[in-house]
Amino acid sequence: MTASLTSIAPDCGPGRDVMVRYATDSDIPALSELGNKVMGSLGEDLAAQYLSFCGYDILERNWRCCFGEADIIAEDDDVIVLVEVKTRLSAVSCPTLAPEIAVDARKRNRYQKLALMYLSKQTRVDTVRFDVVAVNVFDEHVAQLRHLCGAYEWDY
Amino acid sequence: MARDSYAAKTGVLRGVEALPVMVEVNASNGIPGVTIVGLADTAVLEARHRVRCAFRECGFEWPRAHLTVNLAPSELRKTGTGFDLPIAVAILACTGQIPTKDLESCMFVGELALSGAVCGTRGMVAFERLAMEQGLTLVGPPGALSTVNGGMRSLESLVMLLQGVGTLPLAKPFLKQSNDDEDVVSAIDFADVIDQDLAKRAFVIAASGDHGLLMVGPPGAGKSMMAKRMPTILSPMDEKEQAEALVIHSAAGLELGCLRGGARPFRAPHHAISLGGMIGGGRPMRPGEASLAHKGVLFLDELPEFGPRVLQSLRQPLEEHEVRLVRVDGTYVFPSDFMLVAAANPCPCGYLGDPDHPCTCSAARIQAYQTRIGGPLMDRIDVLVDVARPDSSRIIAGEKGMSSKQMAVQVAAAREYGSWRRAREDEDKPDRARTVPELHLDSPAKAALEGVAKRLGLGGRNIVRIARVARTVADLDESDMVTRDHVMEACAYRTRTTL
Repeated sequence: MTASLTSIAPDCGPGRDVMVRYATDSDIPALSELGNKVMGSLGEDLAAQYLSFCGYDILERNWRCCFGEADIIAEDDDVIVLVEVKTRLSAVSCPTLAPEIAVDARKRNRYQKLALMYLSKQTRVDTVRFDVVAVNVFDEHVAQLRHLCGAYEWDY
Repeated sequence: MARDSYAAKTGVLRGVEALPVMVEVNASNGIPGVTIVGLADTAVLEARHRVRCAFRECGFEWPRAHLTVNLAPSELRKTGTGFDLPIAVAILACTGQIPTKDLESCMFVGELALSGAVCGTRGMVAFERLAMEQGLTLVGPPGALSTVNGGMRSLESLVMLLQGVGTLPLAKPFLKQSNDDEDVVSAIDFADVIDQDLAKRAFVIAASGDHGLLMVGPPGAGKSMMAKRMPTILSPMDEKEQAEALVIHSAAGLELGCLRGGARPFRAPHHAISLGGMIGGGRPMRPGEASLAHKGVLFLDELPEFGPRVLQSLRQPLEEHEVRLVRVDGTYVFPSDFMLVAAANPCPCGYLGDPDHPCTCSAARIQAYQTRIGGPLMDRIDVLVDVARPDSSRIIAGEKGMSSKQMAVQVAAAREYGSWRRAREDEDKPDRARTVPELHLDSPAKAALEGVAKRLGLGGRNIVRIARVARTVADLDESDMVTRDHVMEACAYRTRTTL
């Protein structure tokens, strides 16, 4: 299953809640019956398309190495951006619960190691940034994105 | 209006004084959470959880942002729970959830309950004084009493900030009250003490001249009973003394109500007290009993049972009227100007010198017991009095002795005469700083003092002390010169056959 954005609210930008509409290529069962994995890849699809809409070059999706997996690796004006995508189904969880809370110290630590690994494999760019895209899925057509630019740093 | 950062003013308690602290909050995009920097201890770091729960209970929105809280100046160690309220205020102002009007002119100190209610912390009096010095209004918990006129506003709950700090009610003032509090003091009276006229005279002298007092006598003679009545014959505290005592009691987290009406503090620590408990200590540093008795009475019952280190630690406050404690982060000074009243048995069994009870202690034990209180501390106690068991027939008859009121009148008259006498001279030196010639002994008195000093082999300090007690006795007589009789009475409070 792949999802694609059909429309994006006009006032998009980092740090804002952006409402988007999306469509899926196949009929899916009720959202609440989707597994965590499918829900996660749905969010990653939306996040990647949103980032490229904002002018980012998507370099990698689900890039893996010995330390784990980075959801999205993108490039923004000579900065390598490692993006963690967190997806929540709004209906079941508390509507005000921020998905990005789940990016805990362990996960941040993993991304820092991934960044070192990725930088060692290419020499073009040496600036790196860690972003988080929080995706709140409301129903089968509507979701809300929030892009946290530089959500954490190396020394956290 | 939301903004990126906001700074609220607060303070931190260091010893008995409050130092100004700024709580800066900055909200940035990032993983939601709170980072507190600025040498905060665990109690301050726990503020995060209390503030978050209080926000939810009060209906405020917890910002979806990363909050960095800086406690400036950063080099100062921050302790205590009073930072909850300023952190909450700064977050609310930073996210535009409360009106920021008048917030700049306020200082916030208080602990938050999970419900958002504001609770008190130690040292509100010191905080209020700091706020006044800086031209700010303290916003504190509802129960706290304001010692500066209009210097504090009460905040019941975090929700009330929605209406702006200008609408908060002023805190209840700490007034001189002439009701039930005074009755507590007058419920005990020297009239209950029967057949101890000599000891009562010693109390009057000690109270008139600020002398230390030691009672020696068998159990049941009424030593503790008399010591408890000491505050009833002392003059009430004036406003300055009351303010000094208030700061110390507040910093120790004690109830302030007992200081209302000018009653002097009376502290009677148990003899198992630790060194830190007596002169102050701990982390964070708190004043000890010697400071809590500031401008009042420190009563040490069973004096020889106190630890030798604890007793020796009292030498500095007795001489300098303050405790100076040096720690890694600097020196702490606690005012400690108290009247020492002590009681001791003459020997471990208590009956040495009693005509009716044989003493069962060996000579070596008596010697060991008495040396425990001898030495430098004894040098600093001016009035020493034997307290014998009262006559049984008089107790059964229910006689009344001299009452507190009569004794207080004598004390007040002697003090007034003394201050008039000192004011008459050019320099207003307290009697305890004077040399013998400055105490105005007439020539028979000088001869008598010399005779006693030679016969007993008294050292310089002891001679001066006898002269000072004699000066107080003369003040009680309202006599310009110290006469031979005054000196002889003073000598009676200095020497003791059994101790």
